[in-house]
Amino acid sequence: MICSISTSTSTSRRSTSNWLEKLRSSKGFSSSSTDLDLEQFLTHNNNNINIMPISPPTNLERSDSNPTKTEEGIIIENPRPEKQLFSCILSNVLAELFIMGGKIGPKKKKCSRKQTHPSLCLPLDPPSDFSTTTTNCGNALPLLSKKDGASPMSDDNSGFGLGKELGGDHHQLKLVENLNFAEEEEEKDKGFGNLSGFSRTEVTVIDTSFASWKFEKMLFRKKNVWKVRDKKGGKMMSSWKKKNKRKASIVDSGNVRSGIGEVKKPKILDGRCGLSKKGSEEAFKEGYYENNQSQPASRKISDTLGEALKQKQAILDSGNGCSSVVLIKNMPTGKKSEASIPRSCPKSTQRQLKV
Amino acid sequence: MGPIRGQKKKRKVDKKMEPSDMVSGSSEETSTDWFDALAKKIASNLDSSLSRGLDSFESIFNMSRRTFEYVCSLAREHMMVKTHFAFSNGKPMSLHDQVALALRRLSSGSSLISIGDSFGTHHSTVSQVTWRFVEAIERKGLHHIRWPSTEKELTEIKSKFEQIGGLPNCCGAIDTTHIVMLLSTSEPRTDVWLDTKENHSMPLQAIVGPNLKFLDIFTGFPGKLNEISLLRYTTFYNKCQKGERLNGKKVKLSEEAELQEYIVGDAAYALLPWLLTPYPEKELSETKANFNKYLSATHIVAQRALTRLKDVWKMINGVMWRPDKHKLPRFILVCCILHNIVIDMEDEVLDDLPLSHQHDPVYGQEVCNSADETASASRDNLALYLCGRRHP
Repeated sequence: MICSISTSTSTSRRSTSNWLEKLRSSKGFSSSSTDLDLEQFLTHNNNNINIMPISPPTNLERSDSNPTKTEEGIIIENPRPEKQLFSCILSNVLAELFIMGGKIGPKKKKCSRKQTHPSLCLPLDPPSDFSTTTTNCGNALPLLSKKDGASPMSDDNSGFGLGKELGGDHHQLKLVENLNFAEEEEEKDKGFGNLSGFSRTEVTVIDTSFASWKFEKMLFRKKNVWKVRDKKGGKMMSSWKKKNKRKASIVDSGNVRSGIGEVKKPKILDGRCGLSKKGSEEAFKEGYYENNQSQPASRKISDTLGEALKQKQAILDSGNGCSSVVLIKNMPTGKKSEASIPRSCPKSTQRQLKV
Repeated sequence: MGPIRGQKKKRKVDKKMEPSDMVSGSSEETSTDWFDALAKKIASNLDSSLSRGLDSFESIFNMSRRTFEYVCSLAREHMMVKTHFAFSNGKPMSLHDQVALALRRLSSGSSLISIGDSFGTHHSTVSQVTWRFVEAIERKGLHHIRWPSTEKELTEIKSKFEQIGGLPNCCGAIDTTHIVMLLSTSEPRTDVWLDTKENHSMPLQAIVGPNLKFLDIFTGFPGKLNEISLLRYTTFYNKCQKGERLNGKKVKLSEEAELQEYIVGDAAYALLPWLLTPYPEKELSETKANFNKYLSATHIVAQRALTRLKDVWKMINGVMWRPDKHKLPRFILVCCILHNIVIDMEDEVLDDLPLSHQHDPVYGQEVCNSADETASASRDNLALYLCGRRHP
């Protein structure tokens, strides 16, 4: 307030000059220094002042982002530290409450990293919905660890981080924008995975001895080795689905073993599940196919996404919107639930808080 | 509003179809008038040097008027769904015009522009009409290419083959020709289309009957695959290997030896129980050399059929300029169907066509030394049997 008054209007200048004159007269300065600017005055007479209770208003105004010395002498980079500290403490307290053996020390570095963009951890980004179960998250996290180590910035829980990653990675972008296309990619990656190094050629074949005399084939060639596959469907597709079904069944059996049974895991995930390139992809695949086992693979996921978003939004509306809080709120809190949490869940949560 | 619009549309189509039906009437007189008008148009649009030899119906379309009318009847349903094709002067194209245009495109091998100029229409119309014709013939004419399904048909084929080459129990002759293409260098993975002669090509494998009719065709694969590799990917091969085809009556060659149904191939194919090939050795015994003569006399029908196919339907002869590799197999199929239609209609045009057997003049004879033991024994038995007859 002082700052703004002192620099904004002419009337305030008058009042400032009056105030200065009074100050000067009270301190016994000569009136000849009235020509001087306040800054010049202060720099001039800096040596005469032993203690500066409040830093000059102009200084504060000009160097909004520069490091500033406070009364306690703590150097703060921006005006957010209080919020950061508060949320850090809050998240630590909650972590102590709800996570067994997951006590986390108040490491400033980690807390500040977690809270640099708290609002962006909102699960409103569609990619975070790709994995709809925490088990998927658990599966995805091991893939994340490499990224964590490689680039701390990409570890950020921000949608921007995700955006950057999606923008940088074409495959991931396809996955977000066009699920059918992603499915094709998936088919290629999974179905023709064992044919790496082979060149692919799509051909239209006419074979009059065959019932459907016209069909499309995918030819794979590596030197003199040729492999012929159906372009779509057929064995490749079925084996791929089988693989996914198997994965899904493992996940399901894991849930049953841990006592969850049919109870769906919370749909909100660790933001990084959506962030990680591989992790999110894996999570998406598993989550998507787990939820669509009985449905054709070509079904769009948009409906699922919409529902998930609504649910998350409802949860967010009831909560305070902080990333850590949102995550933990969706964790089972009862003793029974605690006992039945799959192994992957605490790990993922710990990872989020520790790293 | 919707249904009313649809009705209006339908009514319009019906109205448009009326004149075209008149033009494409099946009466000989109307057809003659139509062709006279078309021939005049072609003559007026082309230089005298180019139009020379295009004075008769057969010389333009490589088929008689009767066959032409039959082709029109096959294509009518599909081609008359849309009647928006028109000449440059705005006159709508009749069914006969469209079929004539498509046949001319397939038989002449000329460019779209030159065909368009000769017919007085835009080259894009030539392309569209031809493709529409291909689709129509695919749908309605595919039954002209089929493996004989009845015992009677097979018996007839066998007896004809025996008359031609003297080989008993032979059901067909197999051969492969190359449809050569010129592909863009910027196109990815063109090397798979490079054949043994370093040409970009699409092979066409055909099993031919004694009257040069195609009994089975397989095409679409890249030219990098040689004959024997190509054969392994065919349904015909799989069926024969499983005993679902060429599993009919066996012929008794001697008291101990029997000969199953088979087809004949050249040295490029592997010797299989159902596929007999010539002895590959250079120094041959009299018996073996005699067998090779018999076999060659029978196998020549496949070479003649493929040569005739390329001679008549010149679009797939020579070098195709950057064709759509997904459409090309369908063009080939339609040319094969038309080839069979001309034979099935017992067209008099066949008498005037030369009987050459050089369908792939650039390509030399490949040799495959793979031989099945049972097949070797069968071939030896047949060679001995033929040696006793001394027929060809």
